[in-house]
Amino acid sequence: MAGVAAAEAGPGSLERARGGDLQAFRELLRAHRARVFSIALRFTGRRADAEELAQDVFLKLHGTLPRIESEAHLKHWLLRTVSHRCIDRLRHDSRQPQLVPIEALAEGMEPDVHEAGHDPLAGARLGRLLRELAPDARAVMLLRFQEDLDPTEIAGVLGMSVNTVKSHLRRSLDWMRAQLAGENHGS
Amino acid sequence: MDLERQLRENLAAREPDADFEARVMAELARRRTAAPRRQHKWRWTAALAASALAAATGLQWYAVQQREARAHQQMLLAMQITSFELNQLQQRLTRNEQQEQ
Repeated sequence: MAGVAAAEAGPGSLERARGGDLQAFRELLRAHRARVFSIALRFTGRRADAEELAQDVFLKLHGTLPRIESEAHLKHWLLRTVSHRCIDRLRHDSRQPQLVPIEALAEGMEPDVHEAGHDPLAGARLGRLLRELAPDARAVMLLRFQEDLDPTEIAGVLGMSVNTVKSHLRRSLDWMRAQLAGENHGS
Repeated sequence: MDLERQLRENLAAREPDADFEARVMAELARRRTAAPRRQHKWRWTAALAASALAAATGLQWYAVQQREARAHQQMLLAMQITSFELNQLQQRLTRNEQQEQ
């Protein structure tokens, strides 16, 4: 499923990081960086923007550590923070037209070249379709299919009702299916 | 292949650049060293603001005291004048009465 399995932070890393241990914080960063970066990458479509966003999230996490109660809470906080920041960034960017370099368009979805078992063309096509979804719908899709969260968990992370999440999922999948069917007929 | 499986397979987690972790830790270290300086600056600003407030309050208190002292002096002077005038009047009345007798 996931190309890069999330590394596990050492036992007690969270506790030690809360106490100001930077090495423990580094372990948390290592364990969760792929998760946070991947969501940001699929939102922004650009590695540089995604890294900047992910960095902001981890720096904010460091200031929030005293309020993080458990590993589950940490994961929930990271997903919520990165999703909301991505949604805000996307809404802000959509109000300000800007040029996107052509090479950046496929960055968000194309799997790494060395990853086996993936169709790069299908990946690029799905990435393009995902980027056409509205910010909220895109966040729901990423949390469902990248993070494998169920609708109740997604609702908790994004602060939506479960019915809204289910509706986003259904409509986004129907729309993507229709687009893919149209492309297949066209080719 | 069904779309949901395609999405799961293609939405694989991706790693940031190799130096990402080092950059975050460096920025964190930079902020941790910058923070005490900021706190120091805030402490100075707060101390200055408190001193200015204390000075302003003191000056205002002094001005009120001065006004009250002036008013007190004026009232004493007015009472002295009134008393003097009344004495004069009483003396005149006493003189008149003595002349009439």
